[in-house]
Amino acid sequence: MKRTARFILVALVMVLSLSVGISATAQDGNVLVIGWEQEPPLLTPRSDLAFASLLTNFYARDVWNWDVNRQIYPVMVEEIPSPENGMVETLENGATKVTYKLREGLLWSDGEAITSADCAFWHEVTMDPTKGTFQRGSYPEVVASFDVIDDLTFSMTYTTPFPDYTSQSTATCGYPEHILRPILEAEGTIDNAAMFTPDGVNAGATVGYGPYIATEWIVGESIRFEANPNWDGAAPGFSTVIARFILDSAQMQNALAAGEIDVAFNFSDDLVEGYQAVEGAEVFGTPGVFGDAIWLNYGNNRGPIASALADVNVRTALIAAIDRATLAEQLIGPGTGVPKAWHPEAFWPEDLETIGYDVDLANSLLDAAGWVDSDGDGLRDKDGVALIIRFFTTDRQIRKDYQIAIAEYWSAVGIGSQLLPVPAGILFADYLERGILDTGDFDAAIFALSASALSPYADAPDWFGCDGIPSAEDPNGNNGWGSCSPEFDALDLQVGSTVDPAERLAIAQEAIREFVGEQFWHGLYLRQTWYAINTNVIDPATAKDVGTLSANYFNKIELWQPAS
Amino acid sequence: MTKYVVQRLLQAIPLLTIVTIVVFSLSFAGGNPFAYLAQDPRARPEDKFLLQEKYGLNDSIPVQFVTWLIGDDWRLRDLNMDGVGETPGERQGILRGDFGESVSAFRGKEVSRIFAERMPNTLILMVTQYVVTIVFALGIGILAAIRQYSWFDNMVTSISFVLYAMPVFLVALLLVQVFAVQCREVLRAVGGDPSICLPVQGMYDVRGDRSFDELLRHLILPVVSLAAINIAGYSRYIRSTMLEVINSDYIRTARSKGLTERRITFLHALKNASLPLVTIIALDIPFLLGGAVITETIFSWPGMGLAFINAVQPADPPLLMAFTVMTAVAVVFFQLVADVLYSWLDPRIRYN
Repeated sequence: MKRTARFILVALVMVLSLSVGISATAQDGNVLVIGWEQEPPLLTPRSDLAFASLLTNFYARDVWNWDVNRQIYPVMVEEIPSPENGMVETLENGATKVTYKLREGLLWSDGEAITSADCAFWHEVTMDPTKGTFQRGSYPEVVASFDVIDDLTFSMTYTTPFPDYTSQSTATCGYPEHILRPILEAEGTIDNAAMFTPDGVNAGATVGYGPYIATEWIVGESIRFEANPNWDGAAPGFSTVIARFILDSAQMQNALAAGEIDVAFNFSDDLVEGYQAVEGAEVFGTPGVFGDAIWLNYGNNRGPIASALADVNVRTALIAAIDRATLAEQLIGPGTGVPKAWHPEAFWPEDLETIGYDVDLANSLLDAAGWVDSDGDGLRDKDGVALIIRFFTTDRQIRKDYQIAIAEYWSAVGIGSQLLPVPAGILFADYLERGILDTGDFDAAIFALSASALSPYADAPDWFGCDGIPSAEDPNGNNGWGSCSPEFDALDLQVGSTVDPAERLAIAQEAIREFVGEQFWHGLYLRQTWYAINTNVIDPATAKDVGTLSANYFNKIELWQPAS
Repeated sequence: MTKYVVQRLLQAIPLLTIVTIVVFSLSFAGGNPFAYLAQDPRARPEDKFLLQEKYGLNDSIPVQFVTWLIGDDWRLRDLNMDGVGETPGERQGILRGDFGESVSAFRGKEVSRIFAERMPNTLILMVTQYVVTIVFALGIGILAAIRQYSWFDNMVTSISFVLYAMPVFLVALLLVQVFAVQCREVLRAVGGDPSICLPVQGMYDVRGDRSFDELLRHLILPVVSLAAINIAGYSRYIRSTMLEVINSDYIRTARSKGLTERRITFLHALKNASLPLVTIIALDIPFLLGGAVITETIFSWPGMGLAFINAVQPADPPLLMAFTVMTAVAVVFFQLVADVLYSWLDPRIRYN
């Protein structure tokens, strides 16, 4: 008995000595630690790796940016080009020409001067996909020429009238030619440029124009940014910012509670309450651009109920059977709205009508379309075919929750469903890889496709246009749901090239009505982007003007001030 | 013995071949690693084509498997998109010691380098927890056996069953709540120093000095999370093997010769009771190399397990393959080591 007690005592002393005996490290108050849920492999610019592009806001700013109210403000340029200040012209052929004037005295973080040549270099790289594999959108098609006028002035001429010159296919000046040109000449591509890699960061090779410089990247742990002495904007309130990688969402909250991080962001709505309960934490949200929708395959469907989905009344019935407002409140959180259209809300017509929850309407439309329960098995059928939806989504939990809930609603009106959650790589694989969406091998699917928050121009013929339906002959389209409205296509083209704002808005609203009328896209929710900050470390009054676009969180991080 | 070892090594070749073929096929179950580009209107087909061409994903799966085996430096890749290959491949294949390059999770990074960076962190965590496990399991198991049905044995049995039934993530999060989160709240409330509470995650405090002290503090919770469950299992095993041995005739003989209980327990009983442990430990070692996926994820421990999780979604075939091959080779090797050790430790065992 004595020996047993001695043994237990020794074990306890060992554990306690480890936990209590070792002194904790003192913390530096001027260091801001942000919890980052995913470590990017590279800091590649305009990357397809979203979490890399968020980090560029610390070290690589660009010509202009957008605040939380979606108002544009100049960063590298003297002023925002506009017809009023004469920097936007309409040429004789109708094409738009935009002149950019860089501010004098801009320096890269290594002290070199920033000039128009840097912007011209990025234009060169963007025009040729072999020089760097990153998203370029429609830039190569819509930009006709790029002309350097002097060290600080250059112009871009578009192929057509281009009212979206501030938000799409704009000039990029945030990356240094003197660092990247030698790599391009040696390797033919900037993909492998050291300045974007952990080794490059650790060797001090990462050069940019931003409030901070990336100085240390400990793979698997964190990236450290120190204040950039050559930054000519507001001096950062925090001399050091550290992005700390924490994959587990519960641990992110615990880390904030324990003071190991000062900021958590982009967490899901169901965690808001938990963050609010953290002592000293203030939680705020900004309107997001990410939201899931249910997509109905009505024009590319070769399944057993293709004829049902081709009938707009059946599509209407499918949506009328679902209480999307209640689902958003219950599955996402109180106050969550259901978007009426894929396009940004700012451009919706005031009288835009969408389908609400109406079980009677769903039943009557299905009855009228001939889909009735003829054999009493609880499922509607027609000509011997049961109305069973092949219902896909990815393996994200919230989508699977929605899938189950919607199946219940459908069941209540006699519609069956096969629930098919699959990995994103299977759902979104392209046509030649037999991807579910591209081959049209589905009836309904839940996923998100982000729209530009700044423009009414869909500019997505591959997604919504009649020519975008993938086929063996043209496998590059993405319009797996087969939407095809020549009226919408024509209107959207007009939106893309109409310069007069009032006229443009009117056409855009007509296009949105046409889009909604097709009844194939139905929003489920639009989620907010949540932030939780430790008010013992950060003055909350200085921290709330964060970006609302997909890639500009922390676009005013230099203005964040330590708590007094 | 030499003949036996050679035979076992030869048997491993078809086994490893089958494992690699199966895992290679399965690593594509998650779909194309670049499929997510389809959700981004800014991505153009040529960007996707070039990324896939660069990493060999435009090839058929059998060709990709051959490339993984023997590399692609014997063929040309089409990186200027003119339909004709012009750029020699750079990979040498696993048969020439090249594990390839990560496609998604650590894009462009050599897999061997990822392993070199991560393995030490994993070994720090796993070896520490293993040593703690063995030391405590031996102590508890032996005590429980020699004090069979005592209050200590009953208590250990109850606690072991509870811990063994608990998933590691639950143990880990409970420990974090108590020793990191609630601890701070309580100490703040009573005016104590919250810095003595344990850290929530990571190997070091990012604001700290990366000292050995810091590492020890950060090790406590992940090690205890892993070791608590392992001790529960191992101690039961040691207790039962010890009970078997201490009730055998030769122990009775030793007692009748007047040897001390300590000498009987630690010299005669433990030596023989430890024999089966050799097999278990040898079989566990390969999994130490692979890291603890859940624990490393919860504690943001930058080891092999966390890298593995990053490699699963979106799929990173070269990284997944390297993990599998490493684990499979280690399992085969250490099983062989266990067999050899067994015959060395127990003269009754002979491999013919």
